Amino acid sequence: MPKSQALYLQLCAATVAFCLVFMLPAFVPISVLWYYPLEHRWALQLRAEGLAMDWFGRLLWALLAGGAGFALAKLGTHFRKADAGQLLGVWTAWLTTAVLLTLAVYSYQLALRHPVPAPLPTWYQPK
Amino acid sequence: MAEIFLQSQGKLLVLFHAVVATVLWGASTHHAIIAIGLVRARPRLRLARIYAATALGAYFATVLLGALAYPSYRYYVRGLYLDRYAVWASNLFDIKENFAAVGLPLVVAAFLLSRVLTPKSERGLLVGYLVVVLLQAVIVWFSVLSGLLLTMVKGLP
Repeated sequence: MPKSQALYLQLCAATVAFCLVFMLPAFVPISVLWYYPLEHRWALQLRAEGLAMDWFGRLLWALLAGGAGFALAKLGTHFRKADAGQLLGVWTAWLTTAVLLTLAVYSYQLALRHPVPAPLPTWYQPK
Repeated sequence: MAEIFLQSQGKLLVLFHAVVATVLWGASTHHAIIAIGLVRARPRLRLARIYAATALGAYFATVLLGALAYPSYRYYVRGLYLDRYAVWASNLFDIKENFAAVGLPLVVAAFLLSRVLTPKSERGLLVGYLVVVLLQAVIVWFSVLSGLLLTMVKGLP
């Protein structure tokens, strides 16, 4: 298989794995790293207890999944000697679907969200 | 006031975040135009490689600077203001941060593919490259416009 084809398939597999794992917490309760900015601490947990951020944790899991997807696809393309021209279109479709689905899921979930504001401190003056 | 990580540098971080995002905006748009030309048999591979490398560097710099300013933003802007007085903006911010994360593998893929493509590369590969670059450009356009809009609603104190 030509090097460019193999690289493309590996990158598609990495992106699909990244998107699936990044989207996973929207459907399945999984523990991620939460950062508590007011307490300067990290915690691996299912849900936050107070003001916390899960973006870093979800990104970390997705990056690890993307790396794993890339490595698995590298292994697969290493043993496949035949031309993979027919697979390119299929993997392009999978990549597009995974990316658009992830964007759609988060847009839908977040657009309708009603966030809980942090308690107002005594010094705070909204302007 | 509560003390948050890099709070005193917050405004400076957001300023540089905006500067590199503007570079990213330009590079991604030019890259998309070049990628369309590549599929239409008008190859300008040298330019594609330059824009892909610029977009890669600018994307990571933008995400890094945004991530450093994020803890302060999460409390002072989103937590105290947006969640209470502008819920739509709070939700738009979270949509934007998720879009930006999804763009990360795409910008890496676009850069690596730009290094191996040739004018004689097969059409399936060129179309795949175009799809990756276009998806990344859409994400960048959405993120930059959302970021500008959010800054108009409320910035870091």
